[in-house]
This record gives sequence, structure tokens and C-alpha cells, in this order.
Amino acid sequence: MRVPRRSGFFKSPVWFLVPVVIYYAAFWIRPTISVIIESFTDKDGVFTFSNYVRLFSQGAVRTAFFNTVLFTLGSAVLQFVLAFALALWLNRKFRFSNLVLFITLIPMAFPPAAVGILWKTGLYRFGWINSFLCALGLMNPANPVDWMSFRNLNAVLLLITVDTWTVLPSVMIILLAGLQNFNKEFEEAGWVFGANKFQTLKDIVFPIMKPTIITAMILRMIAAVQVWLIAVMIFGYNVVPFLVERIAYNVDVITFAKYARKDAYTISVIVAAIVLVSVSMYLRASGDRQKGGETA
Amino acid sequence: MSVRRRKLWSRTVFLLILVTVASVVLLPVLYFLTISFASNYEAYQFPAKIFPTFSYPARLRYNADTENYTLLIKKGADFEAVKTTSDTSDFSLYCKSQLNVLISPPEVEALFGKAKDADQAIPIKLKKDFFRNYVVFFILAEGTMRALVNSLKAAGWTILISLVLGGVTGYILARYKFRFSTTFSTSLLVVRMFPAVALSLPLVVYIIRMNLYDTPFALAIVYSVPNIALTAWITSSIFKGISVELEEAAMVFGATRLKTLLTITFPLAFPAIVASSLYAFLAAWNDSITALIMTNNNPTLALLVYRTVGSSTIPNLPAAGAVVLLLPSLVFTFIIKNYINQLWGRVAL
Amino acid sequence: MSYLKLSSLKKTYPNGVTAVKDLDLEIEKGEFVVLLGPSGCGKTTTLRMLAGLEEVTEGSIILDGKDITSLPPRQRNISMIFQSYAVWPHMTVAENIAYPLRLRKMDKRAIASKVQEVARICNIADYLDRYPAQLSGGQRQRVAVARALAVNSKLSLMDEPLSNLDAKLRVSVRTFLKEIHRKTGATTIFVTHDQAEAMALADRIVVMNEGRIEQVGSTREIYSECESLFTAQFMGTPPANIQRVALASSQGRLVAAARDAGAALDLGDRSAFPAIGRLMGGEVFLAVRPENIGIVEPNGINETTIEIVEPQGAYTILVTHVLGSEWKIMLEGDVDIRIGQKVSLKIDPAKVMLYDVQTTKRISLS
Repeated sequence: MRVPRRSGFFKSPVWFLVPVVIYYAAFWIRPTISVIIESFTDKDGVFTFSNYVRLFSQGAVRTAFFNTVLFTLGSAVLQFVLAFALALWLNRKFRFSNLVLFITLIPMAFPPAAVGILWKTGLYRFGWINSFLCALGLMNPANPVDWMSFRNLNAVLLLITVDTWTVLPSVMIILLAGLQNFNKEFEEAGWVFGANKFQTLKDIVFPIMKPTIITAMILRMIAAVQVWLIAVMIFGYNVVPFLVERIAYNVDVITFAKYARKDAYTISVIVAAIVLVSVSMYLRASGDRQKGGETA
Repeated sequence: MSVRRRKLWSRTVFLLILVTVASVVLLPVLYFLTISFASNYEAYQFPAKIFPTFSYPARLRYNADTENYTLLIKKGADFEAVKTTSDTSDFSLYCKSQLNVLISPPEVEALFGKAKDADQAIPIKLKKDFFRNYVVFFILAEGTMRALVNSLKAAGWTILISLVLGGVTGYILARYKFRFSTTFSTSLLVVRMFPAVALSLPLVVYIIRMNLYDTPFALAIVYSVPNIALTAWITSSIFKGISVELEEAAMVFGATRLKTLLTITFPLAFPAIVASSLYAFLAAWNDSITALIMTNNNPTLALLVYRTVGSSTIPNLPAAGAVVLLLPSLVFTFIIKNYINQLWGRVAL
Repeated sequence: MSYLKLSSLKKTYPNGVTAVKDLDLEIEKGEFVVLLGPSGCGKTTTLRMLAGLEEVTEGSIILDGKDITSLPPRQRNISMIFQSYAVWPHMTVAENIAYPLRLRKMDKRAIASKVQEVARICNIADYLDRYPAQLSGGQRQRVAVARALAVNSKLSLMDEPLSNLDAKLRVSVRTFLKEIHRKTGATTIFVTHDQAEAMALADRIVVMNEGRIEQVGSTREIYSECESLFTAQFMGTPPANIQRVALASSQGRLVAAARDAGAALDLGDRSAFPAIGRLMGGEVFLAVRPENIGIVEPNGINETTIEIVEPQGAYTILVTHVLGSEWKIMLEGDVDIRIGQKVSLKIDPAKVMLYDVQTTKRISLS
């Protein structure tokens, strides 16, 4: 690491960071503060909790909160297990692994709007999911399932599945990169000294991969808490509420309603708070048993 | 189990996993592609087809009693009557709008003639104008090309802003330790935590005041907020991997710091720059919600597609739009898959 | 019956490269065997096949009567020290040493005392609670040694464990490893490309080149009785002086002459080379080690000018031109020779090594 040269404070390269700081001050700090302030004030600028109270009295908002938490946790667990398994498999470098890697990355390339169309056309009664199931003989063409009629828990589970299809590759590539940078001799030492494949995974690979896993999962959770587009594109507004779906509803649909703006701001603060809390809880729970650095 | 049997077993399992993964990914994509090529008529068919068709096996029948003609299209084992008319323009229009078949009234006239002469329904081949949906969506529909251009502009600005500001930040974070460096890097992460949707609302107010409302540049400003942080994070880990001594060598031999950066450091960091550009591009190209808030008459393509889905009931046209929306990110993903290792390999919180 | 027997061992990679070709080797219990050779010669591949980390294409490995060729590493009862040490970064030193013992389901107290024991032997008892990231390279290496030591294995494998250490440390750890071998008597296979290491540590050295064994023997055999040109040129620092020459007789002396190169080299009295008859007039490879060349006052035989003098404290290296090429001479101690000084070379006939030009195999002179 270099130390700033003796030519003094003003010649220090740190000054190159000033544009970035200004940028963030203008386009992030200022709006964030104004959003937070707005959520804590009423129409006349007086400090109040009324916005929060009003929100939590709405059944839709409470459901949205619950759905968001359920979705985040459910998708995190499912996606971690699948992504890790997939990354382990792809790490073996078999003959067409490069091509297979590209194939697994395809869902990640889908923009949210395209994902919405993809699943909307899939999930409705005469959609391609049912078409495929009929082709396999698993479903009677005369009586197709209407996936879009799912509500509550089933709807959230459906969204978790749909989301996993889209999002799995982005979790997987982070884990895969971590595995590819993993010193193979750590594993080999495990094998030589008596560990079978499962023990090696549990006692050696997994703990050493922890920083990478934490990175991937935090990024994933931050995105999961903000789910809304697929819910809206598949079910429409108000059917399966999520926190950011409520924000979008206030912004896009009932834009000029009395409390639309306040509600949108307040929910935003709630979402940010949830992300902050869950990320710090996750970091603390994972702990840092490795004092003084990760790689050996 | 003997070695050979174990090998056979593991090979079978491997193939099974391969087939499962490939199908799970590719089947939806195939269906999706087919829908984008499907005519309105086909879009209503159930079960849906997995591969697109290029023509319709059809029959034309002259109805002597009513003196009109019936078009029948093969459905399963039977032929289904889809249109009955005596007017050639009516027939032509039906073919164009519902079947994506381009056939002029004179050609229809000829077919009618043949059908009248025959004593039973004559088989005719109706060839689909395969890319019709795309043509309709992009050329005939209003504003699509403009939206595409807007998307490109927004993406371009985002890449520029993110790379310049983010790259410089990443370099400084990698090379210099100063008092607030750790706080700085963690705060970059915090930026990603706040829902972008929320920021868009107050930002619209500033944007309007700066007279930038409804412009791609304004969108780029908003997209760059999380992207600068991501670029800084990615580039700093790459720069850390580039030995300082390479730069020192250049400066010892006479290069200025700027020249060193341009001719030595940045070329070596090329993969990181490519990958960061990708993420910046995708952020701008794929977003609908910020565009929703910040634009009115100049939507991006993603927003346009999103709106189209809402307004139309048949998915084939929006699907065509979505496929085009999908293409750049697909190409970019193909390019960076080889750089992922260097990108995420050393990145950690 | 030998303790470890490698028979017709072969390793071919899917891309067609054959790293190890038809290797046969027998090792006795308690031997310290060194696989020595340049990079790419197959020594590490062979070691990894012994460990079970590489699949054997053909051939077999029998350890203490048991065929371990297709067994996974953990069933072979081996221990290994890796080149990068492979000390697990998320475990303390104590946990690193204890892990293999835990896998063997040893009792907790037995594990703890074993850990203490090997830590003391390897001089890392003070670091038991530290993490590898807090240790120096040399300390981490000792952790790897301790970990291997703690396991009572049938075969101890070492993959260039000293190459990442600095020169001084390398020598001291070398002695340390030899001491441990003396105490434990474990059968050890050690891979290195450094001949000094090999010669210091080995009971027997296996010189390998391009996937095959060039020669197996004691240090002395490998050094002074090189059976092939490769071994002759690989062993020795500075390397042996090797040249393609034609042998001839001149006034009762055996001389070697090189094509278009100055004066012929006098190798000694012809009587010192009894079986040389059949080689006369033909070409051979001549190999003479620097330490087997002496310097005398110019006396008409092998006169030459010293071009470079390199004092090394315990010995001195002189560089001159012989038969048109650069030859090195090694003399004991500090020598009073100046650059440009004329001297005569005296070669010890017993130490001259000749090799067949076609087969590069040693030509016996007795």
C-alpha cells in the first residue's frame, strides 16, 4: 500500500474522489434524506409517526410486509442450495462446461420486463407450462391448472420458483468464481488425510468459501427484498402485495391519491430499514472466525 | 462396486444433471421464442407449440349454397373453420392480421377461383411472414425505434459515468490507504441497499428543475448511482491484483502517471472494465421502473415493452419486443462469462 | 518382498500427453526416496498417483502387500506435505493438526496429547492457537510437517515442500526433515528438482526425465557413476563439462579432439583406459566434472588461459576455454590465480565419463 507522498495534503490523489463524493451527495444523500424526512412529517412539515401508523393499519401493507419477508427468506435458502450445487458441478470442467455455463447464464440476461412476459405466457391456463405438462401426459388438456389463480402462500411460493429461474445464475457465478479461485490443494489435503467428499465439503470447502457465500447472499437478499415486477406482471397490482409493489402501486397507479407520495416514501424507508437490519444480522450471525484475513 | 460400474453410474448421473439443467433453462426460452413468432391465431392455440411454424396446412372450400369461401386450418386430426367470406380484401386482411400471412387480394382471387372449380376443399399452403411480429412491433408501431435509441443513449451515458467515476474511485481505493478508505468502501455498499424506486421520486423533482426530465441522460444519472459503487468495487479488486511494480517500472523509464495509467494499468484491467460496462449497460437497458417515473414521452425500450404487456391481451407482440430487449444482454453475457473469474474471484465484503 | 512396488505405471492425460511412461520402482520400508528431475519429468505426477490424486492409466501400486491403485486417497493410509503447504486457513494450527486425527476417530485426549507432541518436535508449540494467516511461510510449513507427522501413516509423501522457502531456511528445514525421518523411520517419497536437496536427504535417488526413470541409486552412484548423459548433465553444481569429441591416441596418451576447435585435450596415459580400443576414431560424449580437473604450472600439456575467477569462499570456480567451449574448473578453498594467467589442466582419468553418441548411455571403461 502506498502512503500519500510528502508533497502535502493538496497533492494527494484523494482529491480525485471529490467528484464522486459530490455526485453521491447530490444524487443519493440528498434524496435519501428528503425521503426519510418526508416519511416522518405530515403535510405541514410537522414531525409525526402518522405515516407509519397509517401504513401498518392497512391490511395490504401488513400482508406486503409478511410476503416480502417470506419471499426473501424462502428464495435465499432455495437459491443458495441450488446455486452452490450448480457451481460445484460446473467447477469440474468437463468437456462442454463452457457451453453449459453460457446456457445456465441465459436466464440472467432476461430483463425484468421480458421475464414478466415469459412467465405470464407460461402461467396462464393455456400457457406453455400447461402445454408442456400436457405434452408429457402429466396434465389433462381439458382441465388445465390456472396457476395465476394462486393466492397468498401458494402465490409467494410460485413467485419464489419463478424468481429462482431468473436469478439463480447471478448467485451461481459469484459462487463459481469463488470456487475457481479456491486452492485445490486444500481439498486434496483433506482427501489425503482421511476426509470423504462430503466431509471435505463440510469442513474445508464450505468454511473457506464463507466470504464469497456471504457476498453472494447479501447481494441476493438486497434484491429479493425489492421484488415487485414479476408479482405485478403475473398477478397484477393488489393481488399479491409486496413492499416495493406497494411503492410502485402508489407511484404508478394511484399517483394522485391523497397519501400516495407519503406512503411511497414511508414504505421506502421501511424497505431500507429491513435491508439494513437483515444484512447486519446476517453479517453478525456468520461471524468472522478468521482473524486477520481470509486467504492463506 | 467395481471401478467400471462406478464410472458408468457417475456418467449417467452427470448426463441426467446436464439434461435437466439444459431443459429447465432452454424449454421456457424456446416456448418464449416461438410465441414471439406466433400469429394471433396461433397465440390462442392450446397446447402451445414449442417450435415455431413457417406455414399453415390449410384448405379452402367453396360453399355453393352461400356463395362464399371457408378457410380451414389443420388442428390436430381435423380441419377447423376459421374464416368465411366472399370478399377478397376481407380475406386478405384476415390473413395478414390474424395469421401473419401476406397474401394480396388478386392472389386471393386466384385461390377462390381454384376452390370454386374443385368439388371439394382444396389444399392450400399459407406461408407465414415469419418476422411479421417484429416488423409490426418495431416498424409499424409508433415510437419503438425511438425507444430503442433512448435505451442505447441511457445505457451509453451510464457506462461512461460509471466507468469514469467508478474506475477512478476503484483505482484510488486499490492503491492508496487514506484515513477514510474503509468507511468509504463500506458506504459504497450501503448505497446499494436503498431501494432505487424510492430515490427516483425525489430525484424527479431535481431532474425537472435541471430541465432534464424525460431525457435518457437523466435516466443515466439515476442508473449510475448504484453502478458507480459496483464499478468501484469490481475495479478496485482488479487493480489490487495488478502489481504496483508494473506501474513503477513504467514511471522509472520515463512515463508520466497518466501515460502509465493509460498504457499499462487500464489495458491490464481490461476484463474488469468490460465486465463493469456490462453491468452498467444491463442496469440501464433492463430497467423499467425508473424509466416509468422519469420519462413520459421518451420511454426506453424496456419501459415500452412493459407498457405493451399491460395494454395488450395477446402476448405475441410484446414477446417480440421482449426478445429484442433480450438480445444485447445475451450477447454481453456470452462475452463476460470468461471474465467472471477475475471479476468476482477476489471480491469479498 | 518390497514395501512399495510400482509396476508398469503409466499416466496419459485426456489430451494425449503421457506424463509417466512405464515406470517400475521398488522401495523398502523406512527408505527415504527422492524423485529428482527437471519440471515436466513426471515426478510430481508419479507422487500424485501414489497419493491417489491422479488416476492411474495403466499399471499398479502395491503398498505393504495391498493393491492401492484404485483406492481413494483416504483409504491408502498416507500422509502428504503439499507444495503450498495446504494448511487450512479457517482452522487454527492445533485444529489443522487435529483434523486428520479426528477423522480417524481418535479419542479427544489422545488427540490433544499427540498435537502437543508433534508441535513440540516441529517447534510450533507456541502457535497452536494462531491462524495460518498470522504465521510466516516457514512456520506454516512446519505446521504442514506436524500435521503429516501426527498421522501414523504407512507412506509419507512430500511434494517439493522446501521450494517456497528462502535459501537459508531451506537448508535448516532440510536437516530437520532428515532428523524426523531418522526418528520415525517412515517410508518417505520426496519430490524435488533441487539436486542438493536430493543428495542431502535421500537414501536413494530416482532421477527422472520425460516420464521415465533415468537412474536409481545412492547419492554416490547418481553423482559419480552417471549411467546416462542426462544424469551426468543434470547432477552437479556447477554442471559437468560435456562435449562431443573424437578419441585418438597420441604418443601413449589418450586425447580428445573436437571439430574445428583448437588443441586436443589430453586425458591421461593410455594405460589408464584399458578398454578404450574399440572407441578409437569414433565420436563420444565426454563428461568431466569441474572438481575433477586440477591446475598446475604450465607444462606443455593442456595449456590454457584462465578467463574468469569466481571465489565462493569454500571453493573457487575458474572459467576457461577448452576444445573451443567454455569449461569450468572447481578448486578447493581460496586460490591465488589471476585472470589471464596461463595454467595447465590435469584431468583425473578415473573420473572421466564417456557416453555413446547414439544411445547417450554410459560406456564402461573397465
